[in-house]
Amino acid sequence: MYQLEYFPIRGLGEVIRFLLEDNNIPYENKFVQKDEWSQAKKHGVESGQIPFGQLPVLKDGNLNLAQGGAIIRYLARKHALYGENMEEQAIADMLYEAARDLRYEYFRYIFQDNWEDQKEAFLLKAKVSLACFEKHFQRKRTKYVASENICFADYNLFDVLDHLHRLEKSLFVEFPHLNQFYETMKNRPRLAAYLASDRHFAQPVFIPLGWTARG
Amino acid sequence: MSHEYQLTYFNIRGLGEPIRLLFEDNGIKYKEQRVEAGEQWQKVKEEGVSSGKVPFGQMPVLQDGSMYLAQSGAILRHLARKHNLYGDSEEERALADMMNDFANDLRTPYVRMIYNDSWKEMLPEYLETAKKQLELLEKYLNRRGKPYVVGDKPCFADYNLLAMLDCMHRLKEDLLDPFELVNKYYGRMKQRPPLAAYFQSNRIPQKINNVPRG
Repeated sequence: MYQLEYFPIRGLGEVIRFLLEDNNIPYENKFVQKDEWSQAKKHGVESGQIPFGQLPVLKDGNLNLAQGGAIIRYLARKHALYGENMEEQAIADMLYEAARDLRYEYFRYIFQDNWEDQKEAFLLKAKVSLACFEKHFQRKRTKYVASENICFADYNLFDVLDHLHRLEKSLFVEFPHLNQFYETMKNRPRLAAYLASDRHFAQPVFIPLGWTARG
Repeated sequence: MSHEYQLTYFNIRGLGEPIRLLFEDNGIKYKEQRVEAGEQWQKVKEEGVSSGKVPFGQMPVLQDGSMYLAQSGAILRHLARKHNLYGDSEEERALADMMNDFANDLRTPYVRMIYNDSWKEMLPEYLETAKKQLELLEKYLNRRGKPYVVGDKPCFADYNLLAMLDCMHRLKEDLLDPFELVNKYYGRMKQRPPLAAYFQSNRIPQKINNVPRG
């Protein structure tokens, strides 16, 4: 059984949980509490169980895999969530990385002390990125980012869109394809059940801000 | 399959260089469109977003036939899949992804510093960060015990890692010295005959970044 070692927060772990839950893949959360992290990190770095002193880490047998992008792709390859041909795989990667860029734009915004004052300015910037995602769906005309079938990149885009949606509920009005995609994801039965459950960490919590909840 | 890839990027190393290194080391033919920052880029970006040739308003972009692929991580992986540079096992593929993204983590604080006009004030703190990162890389290489980052031959992640180690080495010549395996690895990669030739050639961009430093 996979073991996902991460903090009991949304952060960079929730997107992996989305993929696991939505595909009924058995896994175990190994939660590291805030006050346990310093020791866990030290021990993990020495032993190699936390190879780069960061979480999340996926443990699968003898493999201790760090880096969210590596973890989600490893699971995607094992569970047929990486597209059906080279073109779909390339698009999956491109959309995963583009969503990751948008996620970090959001982090940079929300890490500011005066983040609440900066909201409108940030949303203007975010809309430039969102317009590119919208165009992608317009051009491809597929239900999911790479094809009619879901892939790992869809979970990342959904997670990031959800962060933005929490910030501004009307954000997708001018992006009908993104709106459609967001609703499609939210309504996938297993994912919907997880989102409604008490296992889902909904509110973003930012460790570099001293484990602050914002957004 | 005979066709030519086209790489569109600035006339700098930056995010394009890992891709160039992959092409060069594997004798893969490619064309380049090198775009000047400023007015030319604004024009290319505007047209490209509209046409889909620069799908996310950023470079690098790889043209492969009718596909315009953005995001350096997507480009490297696409080429890796096509040219057998993604490791030879499930474990190696996972580690390739992990080490590629680790190389990106090396890039983030470097870029944040070097593009900042107060970079000289930021340099000492960056060097501390870099040392911690190199220590972790040293530990990884020791544990893995392979000549390349996942196995006995290079994979796509090695080119990303080489590009970053080279940036770091250019910044401070002795930065890698305390890290024996990292230093050996850097030498091993840089001295691969096609790469050694490339580094000496006039194809490699002279500028690392879009600022006159680094």
